[in-house]
Amino acid sequence: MNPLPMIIATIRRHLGSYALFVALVGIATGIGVAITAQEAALRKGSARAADKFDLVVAAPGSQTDVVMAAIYLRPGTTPLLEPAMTAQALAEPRAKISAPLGFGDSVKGSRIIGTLATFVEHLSGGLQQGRLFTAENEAVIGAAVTLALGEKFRPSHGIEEEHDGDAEDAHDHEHAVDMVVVGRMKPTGTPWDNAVAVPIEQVWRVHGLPTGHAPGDKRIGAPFDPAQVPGVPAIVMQPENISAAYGLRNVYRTNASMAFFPAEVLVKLYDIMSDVRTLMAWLAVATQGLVVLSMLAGVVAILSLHRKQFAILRALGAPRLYIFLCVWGQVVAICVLGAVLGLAIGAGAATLVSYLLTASTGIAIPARIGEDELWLVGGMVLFGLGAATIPAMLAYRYPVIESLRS
Amino acid sequence: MVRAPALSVRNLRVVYSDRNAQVTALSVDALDVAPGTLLAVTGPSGSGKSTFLYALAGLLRPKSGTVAWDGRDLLAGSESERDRWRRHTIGFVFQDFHLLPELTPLANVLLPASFESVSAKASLKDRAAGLLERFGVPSKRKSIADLSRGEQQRVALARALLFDPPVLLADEPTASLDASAGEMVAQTLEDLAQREARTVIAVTHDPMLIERITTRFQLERGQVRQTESAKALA
Repeated sequence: MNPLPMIIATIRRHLGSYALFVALVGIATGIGVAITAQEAALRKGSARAADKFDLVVAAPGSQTDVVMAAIYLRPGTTPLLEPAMTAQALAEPRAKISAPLGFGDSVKGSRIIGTLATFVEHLSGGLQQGRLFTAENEAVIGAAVTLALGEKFRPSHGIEEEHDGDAEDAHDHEHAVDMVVVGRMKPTGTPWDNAVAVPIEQVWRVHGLPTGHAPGDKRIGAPFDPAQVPGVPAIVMQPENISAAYGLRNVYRTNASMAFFPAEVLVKLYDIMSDVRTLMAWLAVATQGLVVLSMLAGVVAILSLHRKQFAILRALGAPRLYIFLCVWGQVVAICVLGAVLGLAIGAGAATLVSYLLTASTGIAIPARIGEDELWLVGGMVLFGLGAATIPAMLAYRYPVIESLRS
Repeated sequence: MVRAPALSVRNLRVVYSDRNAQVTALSVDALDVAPGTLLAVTGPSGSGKSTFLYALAGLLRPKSGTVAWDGRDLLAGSESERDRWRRHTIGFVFQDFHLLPELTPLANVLLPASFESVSAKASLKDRAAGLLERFGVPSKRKSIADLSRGEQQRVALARALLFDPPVLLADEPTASLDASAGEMVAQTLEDLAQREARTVIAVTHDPMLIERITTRFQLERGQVRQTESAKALA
């Protein structure tokens, strides 16, 4: 039994309607695919961006704000860690790296972060070009920064976008210090790709703060003079081992400081994201279901025009099963084509959203179609296979004589 | 030459419900049709002609009575057995042809082969092409919409004859055709009965067709009014 000629003939006869059904199923499926793919990509991208930030010490407040500012380099105000606590943390012997992070300036739209050369090395895993900074006026740029090696620049106070693109206004905010680019980091897939790392001493100095060393001392990096260390928004530590990590977290959980693993914050964020994703995924599934049911209503309406045709086939000797398969096959064809289209739409939408998010956050968000998305599409096809039996059973039960007379 | 089965109808009653009343759509006490007969079923609209044809094909279940082909009661078997029997024993031709315009004439003729559990054999494809050639359909690849109505009816005839059925049932086969096309179809029906010994039963009110058929069976309000026969007809 081969109902394919009839299925093809009917689809060709109502090509416009069937194309619309396929498009509707495709769009509904695509929305679901895009949501799940994007959420997974966002989770992976954000987790990867936080990989090198083992333990963060900051002033008491919102851990989420600190993560957003220190790891994702989002603009915002974070209170400063007290100088004494900063000095203690920077001299922490159980940490392989204890790097301050100081923000506030920018150049050509890239944020300038004051830190240590060892942290830049740790973050980048070796440089792509040049060398690490060894003097206060040297800078290492992120992989995507538009400055060139050897290029000189003056840091602007604040973030350039905040000056509304007014060059004169931005010029007024420039610090009177000439910096030179000496190295470029490897791509990290994090917002740091668009950041400029400079010695923390330089950030402190241009803001009129002590530089962590005795006046006149031009050294950069650790060890710092505790009497000369100002406060910082955050310190990133790379503990010696896991037990040291938990030990340090306890040590710096005081009235004057908080210490946390960024993963803890991300897990909370992912929980919220997961809830939102679940809600949106259910909405997408419900939309798919409604679209399939609407499509079925349309198919039933179209098939009612073919009642006589089916009765003729029965008169010519077609078994009822043949009629069933003709209708079932049409609906299944719509669902399968819609699912394939939806997969393509979902992949395209997720890629586009990833591109836009990467452009705005700097976090590499590689959206891919994975098992979850295939299950979603597979579920939709299975639902379609089941739902297709409704119009198929209606056609199966069409009374032949009444239909022949119609 | 094919071997057509003999038709025997006994005490056939087809009844339908109209609101609370039971209306008799067809009542035939006895009718025997010898193999190879060309029979015209005539009568005014609503007289039960088509119902009679559907009953002969086993498409409807009568309230009582039997329709037997070669002594085998049509309703004795299962529905799937009737389907298979109808596919191979009965060819159906309709007033409006009911071809699929999206398929070529050849694909239309081959459509009943898709009802079979195995795909159409090459021999069936050859037969379909041969039937189209026999009926003078100009191009096997031409779209149905490009064919004249007469040609479309000939494609429908070819479709009805795909499995070489010994019986052909035609419901107003010339009603939608002009005189010359109707003449051609009438001649074909005559040939199928007289030269190939098929039993051909045509429901018609076309005087041209009725005139060419010597065996007639007239229905009025579901009852047999008159029979005329040059052959054995009770």
